[in-house]
Amino acid sequence: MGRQAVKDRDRRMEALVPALRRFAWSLTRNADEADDLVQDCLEHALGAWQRRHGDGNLRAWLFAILYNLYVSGRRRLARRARLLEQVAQFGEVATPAGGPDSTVQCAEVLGQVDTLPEEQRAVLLLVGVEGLSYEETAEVLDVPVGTVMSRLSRGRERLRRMAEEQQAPVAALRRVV
Amino acid sequence: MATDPQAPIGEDDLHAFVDGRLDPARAPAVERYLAGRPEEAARVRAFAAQRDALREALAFKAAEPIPARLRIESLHAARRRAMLARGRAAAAAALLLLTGAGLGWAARGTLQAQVAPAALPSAPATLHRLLAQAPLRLEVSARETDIAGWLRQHLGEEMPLPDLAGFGFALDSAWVLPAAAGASAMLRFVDTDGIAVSVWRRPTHDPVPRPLRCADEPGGLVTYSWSDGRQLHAVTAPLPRERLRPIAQAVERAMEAPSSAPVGAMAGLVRQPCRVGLG
Repeated sequence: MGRQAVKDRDRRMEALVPALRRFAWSLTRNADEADDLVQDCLEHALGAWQRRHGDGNLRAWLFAILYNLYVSGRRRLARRARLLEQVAQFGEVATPAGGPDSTVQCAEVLGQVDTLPEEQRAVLLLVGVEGLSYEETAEVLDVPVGTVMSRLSRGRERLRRMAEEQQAPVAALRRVV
Repeated sequence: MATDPQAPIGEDDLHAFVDGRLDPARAPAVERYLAGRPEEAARVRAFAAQRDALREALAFKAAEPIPARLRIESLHAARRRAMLARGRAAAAAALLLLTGAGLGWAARGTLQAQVAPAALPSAPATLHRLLAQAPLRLEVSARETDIAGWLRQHLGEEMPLPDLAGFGFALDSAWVLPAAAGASAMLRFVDTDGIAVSVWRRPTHDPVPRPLRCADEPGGLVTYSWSDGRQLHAVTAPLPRERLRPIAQAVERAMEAPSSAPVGAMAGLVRQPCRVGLG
């Protein structure tokens, strides 16, 4: 690989870092863990560049590496253990509610997405937030496009029901507060 | 997904509609379908609203400035450092080969007692133990010590310090280790990227000068070595041959410089090094 090609590759990779961080954060919901994941992903990509066959879709390739690293979750396990310790220590402390409405809504939607099965959540994030095509998403998750479509459909329907069920009581509570 | 305008409307069409990924040929059929079914249309709007809320909730993350550690340049530098660390281990191993019998002297007693019955320890481990036991300080930093004076004191003679500034390398530290026919010395030069070039020198009993030759070593290291019949020299770095060759040649010229220090026992056997051209 020539110097210019390396520069070009690095530039294209770096341009994807904000989206990779967002995807990693949406998966891990922890800033440090997300950036560790992105760093692992980029290191892996730089190391595996020679083995990357053809000039495939760089974005899908990087998202696939990141997602696979997330699933294999080497660092996640260690962090989870630490979090558990913290939870054990501060278990009695209630989480204060508050902040502007938009924050509450955002937290709500994230909380709802978290309750989805992992594979539905990943599809919703990749398609809805990251704007990947169905084909790219299939490549990232290494499943057929049809599977992507059915996960998307089930995940969205589930979220919609959840929102419907929660809307009334949540609104009532807000008025009280 | 269906591309046939006549095919029945499916869930996949509705999601493709939400995502703006509907085949243009299908769009009119889907729009007609939704226009006639307000409940389905509301469902599609809910999907889109949910998607937008999720996007909004996560937008802050993509808008954040990226941390320095995720810059590709930082990652390259980290990879170079990792390579360097591997290079150091390999260099330590190379040192043990170069110092050869010297270690036997250093290791007699304690080391031998600990090590002899078990399998031979790895070279870096041996070096580590050796350094831990050494009564002398074997490494000094160029920042805090006059390397030339320190080397003179430990080697008992003057050792020329090559100037590699022209190649972007500055003297970083020096090592002295025991060797069979005296002491061996290593100079470590580092450039701004953290790449290190090590220059080794140890006395040799083989009076026959050896011309500069090159060897590729594990871990992407390249070593140029030569002997002037008195001292064996090696220049090692994780650099391509064509970059390391002029550096090695510069070191060779520097090491040839006449020394005012007392000459060693093998001085009478010194011959001019062969000036063989390099392939």
